[in-house]
Amino acid sequence: MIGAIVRQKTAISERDIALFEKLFKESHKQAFGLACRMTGNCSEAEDLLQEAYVRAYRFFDRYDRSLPFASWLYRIMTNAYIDSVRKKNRLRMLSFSQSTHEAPAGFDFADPEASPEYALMRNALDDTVQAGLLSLPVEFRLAVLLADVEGLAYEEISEIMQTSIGTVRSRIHRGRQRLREYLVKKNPNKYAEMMS
Amino acid sequence: MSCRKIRTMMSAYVDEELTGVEMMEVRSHAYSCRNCGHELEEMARLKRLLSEMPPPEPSEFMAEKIMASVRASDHVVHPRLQVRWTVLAGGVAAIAAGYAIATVYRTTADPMQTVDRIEPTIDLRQDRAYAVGGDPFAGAPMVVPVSR
Repeated sequence: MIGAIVRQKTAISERDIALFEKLFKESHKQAFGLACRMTGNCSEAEDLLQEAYVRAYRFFDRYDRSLPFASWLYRIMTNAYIDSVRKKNRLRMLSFSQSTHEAPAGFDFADPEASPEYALMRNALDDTVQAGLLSLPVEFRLAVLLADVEGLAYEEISEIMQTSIGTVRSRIHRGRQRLREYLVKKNPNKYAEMMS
Repeated sequence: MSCRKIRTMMSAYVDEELTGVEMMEVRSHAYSCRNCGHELEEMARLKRLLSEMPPPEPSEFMAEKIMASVRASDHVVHPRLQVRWTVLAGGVAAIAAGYAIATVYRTTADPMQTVDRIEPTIDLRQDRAYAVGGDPFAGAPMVVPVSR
């Protein structure tokens, strides 16, 4: 029961709901592509996208209408993804510390090429490149994706990742270097073919 | 400029994020240094390779599913309570009036009996509101939910 004195005020007005739906329609396909490459898994990408849009809707009154919606959404999405990666890493470390007592030889570090999620991406993306992207530290991967796949300028990336332009520049450079090293090491023939 | 310094600038060069002078320095160095020239070319091809990766297509129902979640979240997101001050003031006034009338009545009916004074207050709990005051007859605390 909602009282007469106190009532729940919905997060955004009717007019803003219509605007949100319009922005959703315009942005979701592109955002899905980015989420797939971030996660390496289309199913996880859908969950991430859902989380990002729900958060965006919840805080829609904080969205500055003069800026591109996609940039704001990507900021929310990258934050949500980094949070989830850190959470997984904490769980993994916890699992590792427990396994050292129980089964020290049984612990298996994640190999992007061996995971079932990776297999789901095989048909949609170039497998070697995607595996290389997944092998990068998350901040490097996001910076490279935002620059190369989304084609964003360093200034926009710095706003999305909430860091300095210098850090963005360094992350992109190191990310590309590591990606190249990965490709050369894992599949030198294919890399040579790709570079020819 | 050294090869090492030039190589740190290569990514920014292919992204066209250097100043005009820096762009010229990198280009000039890459032209005269075979190794750096080769590396710069690879960096540019890698960028092109990533930008040309085909975008994955979402499933047919994804958009519908996400918007349904968004709409559903509207009812569970942290409610921002908005007090309807006119109704609130009415509740306070009603309790105060009742208290005053009852006090007068009690005083008239039995001038020897005193009534403990409990100031009416308002207690907001979650999405409900209560007017809290004192029962002028028994002196016990009185809680009146104020609702639609």
